[in-house]
Amino acid sequence: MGVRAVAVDGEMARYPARAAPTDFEAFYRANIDRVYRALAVTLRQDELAREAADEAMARAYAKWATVGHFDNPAGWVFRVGLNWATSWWRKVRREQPPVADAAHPQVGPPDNAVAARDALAQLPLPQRAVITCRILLDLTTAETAVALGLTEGTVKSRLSRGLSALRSALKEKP
Amino acid sequence: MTTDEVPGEVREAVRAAARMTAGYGGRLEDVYRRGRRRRRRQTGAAFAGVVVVLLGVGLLTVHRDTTPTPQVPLPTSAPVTPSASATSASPAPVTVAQRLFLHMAGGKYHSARTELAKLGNGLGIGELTPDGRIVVHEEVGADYWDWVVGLPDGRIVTFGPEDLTGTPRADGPDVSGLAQNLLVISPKGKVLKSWNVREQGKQTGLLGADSKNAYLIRKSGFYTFNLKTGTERLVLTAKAMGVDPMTLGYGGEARDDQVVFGRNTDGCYLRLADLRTGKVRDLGGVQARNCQAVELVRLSPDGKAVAVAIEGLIKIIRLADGAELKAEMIAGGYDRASTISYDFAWQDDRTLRVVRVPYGDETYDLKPYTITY
Repeated sequence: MGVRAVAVDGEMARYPARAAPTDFEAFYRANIDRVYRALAVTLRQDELAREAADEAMARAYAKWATVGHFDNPAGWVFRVGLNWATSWWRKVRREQPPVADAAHPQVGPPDNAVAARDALAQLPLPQRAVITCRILLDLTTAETAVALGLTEGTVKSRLSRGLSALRSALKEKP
Repeated sequence: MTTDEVPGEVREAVRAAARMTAGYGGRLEDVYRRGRRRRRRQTGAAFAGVVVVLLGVGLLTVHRDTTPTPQVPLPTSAPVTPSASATSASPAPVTVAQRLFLHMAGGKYHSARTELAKLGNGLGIGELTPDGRIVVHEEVGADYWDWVVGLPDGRIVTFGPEDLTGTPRADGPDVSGLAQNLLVISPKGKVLKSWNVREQGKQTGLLGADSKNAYLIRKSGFYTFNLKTGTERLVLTAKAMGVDPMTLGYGGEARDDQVVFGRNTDGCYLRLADLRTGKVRDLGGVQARNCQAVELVRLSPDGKAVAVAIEGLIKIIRLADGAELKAEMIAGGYDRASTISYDFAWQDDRTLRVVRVPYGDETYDLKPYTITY
């Protein structure tokens, strides 16, 4: 495994690279649901998360010859989707204020799920992004740093603050 | 616990919160569709909604070192094996004004006179001839063809990237060994001419072509590219256009220094620019609220009208005054989320030949129809 410096979607990044890419369809089917859910938790809008996941996967497909060599293409897809969604959101939010709770229909979830969801909603988006990468995408600190374009120190700091808030919220659940 | 350890109860709670989310519900086919469109946009050929008609002579001349290069051996790739029942790269002489290419096709197709043709995903670009055959054009001279313009004499002008190292890579400011090839292809599928028109780190796109010129877009503006001399000329600056050329829609129709193409910002709009006067004016009739993009634009053979496709709605607009001459949804309906594309080309000055092009895992029947105004 090596590390290659590539420009993808205008971003210069150093992504750990594998020797050969997996088939895109196999990658898509193995990762789309968890990337989508990670985006949904981070963005707090299911429909926007779906669009973002599709857009990011489409970009991965268009550049699969490069992205497929990354050590963690799912992390790349999450970041691209997050960036796309937030830029789209900024553009249209005057006309369409983001939907909050209506985007998350409840179907008898566990109490801690509701508490976690509500606590996540209170976190700043950058902290939510780090938490979803670490927990929902199972990325290490180093992998999260690469995926989000952060330093490891920043990842640790945002994770620490986010986890502190979540622990407090879970302890306070009725 | 270190600063990067996640407590188990928190981990389970967050995962439970994620499971509350409604299911993904998307489809791989939609991702493929968006990916193909994105691939084309990334070479400077974004679909759009402002149609700019460029008339007249050039304003500036830029001479580039554009000596035609010898044909470069292609990177190793799977050979194209056209279906035995599809015709490969030898279309019959066309009798209609414009040739109809299936730019978004991906999968297996049959038509009135072709039992089976496999298109897209490296298998070749399809052309639907007036007599109902599907001709498969091998994408020679580049890693793939990003847009195709068919000339009446059977040649093709096309544009696509080529990684000279043999390993497809993404372009970027510090990336070398990439070419952006402007190609002229013979009726039998051979590369007649090839120019590397790439500016390192910058996007380039092909908007259209005629027997004399190809029409390129760069960040700095709109260029004619003489297909005999290889001389490139800036004919309209980006500032004069008032838009970022790299957001302009390709799929333009170019003839005799007249070019039509589309652009989109905050909806879809038509605009006309006269190179002789330098004036740009809005042309009504295409603007659509909540529109994301004008998806296809074709100028009529007589240059008096333009056919515009806006998310399944096909409009024919008179250029002189912007009057809407015809408007109808593509036959069979359209859904932005569906795996449907379409292409059209003018059969004569008043008749547009349209074909709905599904893509996916099935074998699809291509049934063209006409719209006349």
